[in-house]
Amino acid sequence: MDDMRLLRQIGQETPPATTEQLASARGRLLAAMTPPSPAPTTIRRTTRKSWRLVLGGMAAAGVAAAVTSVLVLAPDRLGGDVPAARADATQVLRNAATAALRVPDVNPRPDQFVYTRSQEGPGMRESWMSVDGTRDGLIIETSAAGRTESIVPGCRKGRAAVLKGGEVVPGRTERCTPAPAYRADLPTDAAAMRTFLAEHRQGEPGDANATGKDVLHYLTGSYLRPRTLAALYEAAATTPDLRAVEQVKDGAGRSGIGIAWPSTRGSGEIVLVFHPETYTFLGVGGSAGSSAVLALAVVDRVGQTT
Amino acid sequence: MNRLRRVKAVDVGKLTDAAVIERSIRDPETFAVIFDRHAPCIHRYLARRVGAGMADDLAAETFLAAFRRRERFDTAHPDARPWLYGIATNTVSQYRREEEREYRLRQAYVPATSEASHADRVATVVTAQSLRQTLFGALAELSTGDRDVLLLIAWEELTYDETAAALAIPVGTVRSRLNRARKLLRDALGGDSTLTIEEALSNG
Repeated sequence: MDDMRLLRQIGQETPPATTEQLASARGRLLAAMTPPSPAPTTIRRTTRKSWRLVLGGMAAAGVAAAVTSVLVLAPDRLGGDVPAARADATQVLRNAATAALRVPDVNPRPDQFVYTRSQEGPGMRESWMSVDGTRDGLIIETSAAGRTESIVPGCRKGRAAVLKGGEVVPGRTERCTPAPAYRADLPTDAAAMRTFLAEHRQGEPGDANATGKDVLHYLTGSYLRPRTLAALYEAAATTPDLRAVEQVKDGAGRSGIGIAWPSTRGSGEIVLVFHPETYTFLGVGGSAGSSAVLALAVVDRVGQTT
Repeated sequence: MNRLRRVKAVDVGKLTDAAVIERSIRDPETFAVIFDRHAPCIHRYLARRVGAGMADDLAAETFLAAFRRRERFDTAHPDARPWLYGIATNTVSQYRREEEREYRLRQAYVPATSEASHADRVATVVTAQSLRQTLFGALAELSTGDRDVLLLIAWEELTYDETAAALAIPVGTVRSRLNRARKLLRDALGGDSTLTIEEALSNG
């Protein structure tokens, strides 16, 4: 009928909201999801949260799938190792350690940023995280629903800008401790790394799945230089009950060899996926979710990708 | 552990609204998926009723209210739209005066936001100044209950059943309110404006 048609037409004068228009509402919603807590915990959580954002998006400072002159080229292939078909989990991780050591060493400067591009489910994520944690970083997430940019405030002289919904609240700061994207303090040999992992474990002793997540945390949470990365893989290789999974896919659909970390509490098995020939870390597959590292580089500025 | 949740959250994109909301009870951040899916349309609905200026704020209120009430969402309904439209409608009801002022304003002009997107097609109808006057005037005159039903169906394209669910009223009431609202619209448009309507539509 004409009255309905006319009404619809004046309704069309108003277009759906854009991502920009929705940013403040989204920010308020996200702020409501994480209730405020006393100052000291807030600091911890703020730091942690920004890390988690990075973490979620990617998987792995380990090695670069597509990299640039600035960084970390993956070796072409490893000759003469155990064929993928018969690979066992320990051997895959040892191969990964060997492969890690063949990657050119890059020692990031404090004023640089670790750039990562990764896929998380159907979404893409890019992040620039301050090497020493004192510069403002940036995370860009793109999904079917739109694109969001979140500033990651640098922590300078113990203070960082306060964020609300990914935006800096002008004139407000809070206490902080820097969250460096490159940790120079991590162990560089397997035994020390094992001790380090045991001391900093998030789960219960003996919970392999939790150990897998810890390993993933270090793999993806920061840039690791070759010796540290190799130590991490070597330490991980000593975890009991690991299982190699052939032909598993990472979050970008790339096939590789998986290392499955047995789950004791039915929380979904985490599977780290490695390239079947180069043993570079590709991403995460398995029932606990999937992601893929698409690029990793150390760059001079936020926004720079090569 | 946060990391665990994050890793598990990756497949949320494929879940129904109901499954996402259920999940968000344990993992609040999952609720952002509901926002990303539906906020553009909920915001537009609010902008249509109270103007773009207020819509930002009311969209935030709507989703905050939805988030707080997420445990009460009836997961038998896979689609959260009717529920969200219900909350949005509730939110609007506190701003009845602002809503009517918006309709009065728009009797006179097309909102600037539409220039790029809708341009000519809309303009043909809309430039019939008397028609705008009449339509928006009639919207401002409607009782809120009738207007809620009319706009959810005409603008938001909800079905009768969805409208009933959104407003928590029986479907029979949806029908009777819609009939009453449309009769009022037609009366306002009046016998002699039929020609104007036909012209406007054929030009469009």
